[in-house]
Amino acid sequence: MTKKESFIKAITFRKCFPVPYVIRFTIEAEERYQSFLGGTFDEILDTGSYAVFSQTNSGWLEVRPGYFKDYFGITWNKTKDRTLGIVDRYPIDKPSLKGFQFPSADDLPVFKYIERNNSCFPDHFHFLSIGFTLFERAWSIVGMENLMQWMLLEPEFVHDLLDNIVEYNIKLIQESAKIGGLDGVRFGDDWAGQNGLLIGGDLWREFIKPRLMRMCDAAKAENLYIGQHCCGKVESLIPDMIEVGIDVFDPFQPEVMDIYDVFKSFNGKISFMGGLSIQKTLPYGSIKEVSDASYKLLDELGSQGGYIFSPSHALTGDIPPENIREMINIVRHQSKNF
Amino acid sequence: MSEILEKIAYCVEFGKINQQSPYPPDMKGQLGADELTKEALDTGLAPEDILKKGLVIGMERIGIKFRENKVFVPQVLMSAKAMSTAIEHLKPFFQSGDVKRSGIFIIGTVAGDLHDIGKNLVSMMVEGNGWEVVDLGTDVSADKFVNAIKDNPGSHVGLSALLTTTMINMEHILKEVKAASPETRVLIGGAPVSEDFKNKIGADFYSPDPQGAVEYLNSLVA
Repeated sequence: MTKKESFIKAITFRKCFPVPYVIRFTIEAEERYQSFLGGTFDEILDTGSYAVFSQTNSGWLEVRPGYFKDYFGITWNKTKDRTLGIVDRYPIDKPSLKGFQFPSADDLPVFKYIERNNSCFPDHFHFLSIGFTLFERAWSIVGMENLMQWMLLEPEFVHDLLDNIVEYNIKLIQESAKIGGLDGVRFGDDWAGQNGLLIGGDLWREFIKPRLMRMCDAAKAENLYIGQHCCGKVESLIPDMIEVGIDVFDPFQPEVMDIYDVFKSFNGKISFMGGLSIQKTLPYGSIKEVSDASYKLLDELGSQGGYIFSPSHALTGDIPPENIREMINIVRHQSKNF
Repeated sequence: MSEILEKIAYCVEFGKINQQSPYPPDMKGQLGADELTKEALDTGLAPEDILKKGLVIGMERIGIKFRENKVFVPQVLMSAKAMSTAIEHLKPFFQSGDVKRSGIFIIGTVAGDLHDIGKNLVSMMVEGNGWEVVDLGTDVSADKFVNAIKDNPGSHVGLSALLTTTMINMEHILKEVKAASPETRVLIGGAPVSEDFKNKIGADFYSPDPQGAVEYLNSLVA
């Protein structure tokens, strides 16, 4: 069975051994781990990850040292956080789209990554990963505080802004699918913080959900599975995610939800990817604690189907390499005990 | 509480900035915190009472609702906007000394971290509860915090971080602040921050929500 077949088996709620897994690194973590190993390191090959991601967050133009322009023409300051960065200047400061040009999805750097991943990893599950999909894309254009206030004060503008973003995303999905080789699309939008939803369920259902459904429909029309990344305490939106057609939810953070309880509640309706804490266990736990948490996830969730093992985000630079090595060893050398 | 002070508190709680504002929809056309504060001053109410018995009460209510996940960031932003619009009318009284702030709170996102939404929320809530806030912005070094404390004697400090990779910088900043000003209370917060981490580095207070920071600061001047 190929990694792709195993991944699909797991996210369609069938028992699968070994339990498929995905391990991703931030730039800082990859450099540290490579240095620890004392040689070259490949995130896909040397972890044995089951999925590859062709990302719209790659292929940005470096306009000056440490500053990168994304596909929407927005400049991000990556001088401190080299993986994510923050917006340097929001192009819209008034609730008007006048003068703002949305990008065309006809020719984008991500298309080359899709071709490359098709060529290099034909047996892996292949995601088109649309970072800053909708909510995050909107605040990257107007600023988070403006976006949230305008949802209440200027709702027509926000609807218009989001509609334009959705049109772009749907075109991006369709153009990417034309290349072939994709198995899924993964949306990335953080709708929640550590303690709860940022905009609340009502505004989310007014502004985000109908558009998420449109994007899901577009992906399903291309026979793609759908992943949704959303950090934070977002448990209350899981039934909505199921309703719109999300197949796999990540990062499944144990700090903000009882992941075992959530899994039990929704298994068979949505699958989960993540679960190993990058806020606590991986950066601050002992090797044994990493080992125990990893085995628990594999044994209790992985054994049932509907689960992809993964850290609860891309690994960060503060995680001891010894802990990373332990986690990789465990998932690469799974011995069936369920 | 007088009727107008209750109205002011209500406008802040529900984010009714002024009569023109379309939000909240069920208060369309009604006077907002802006007009009511001016009216209260015109009728001779003490500015201190307008602040402490009107505006601050509204912010306190929204802070509690936010902590309980009954409202969310957009509603808090509207309340903060209503508050700041009303505060404009009180500025001359702050300058003349007729109205006194509860104290000075210095806040910043720690060195290495450029994120600001959490910091801004705490800043708005603390300011809305009668404190003067000195916002040092993001990526703030220990030196900047220490200098700000020197410029604002008797102040307290809030450190914010979004990431585990930057949270660790709180420890160094805390040490520098305490070395320069042992009596300064240092509050910490941010997504990965916890009570355990607070205890580990020896900070004075941790809160998972802005209202907790407000209540702690208020307890220092009670």
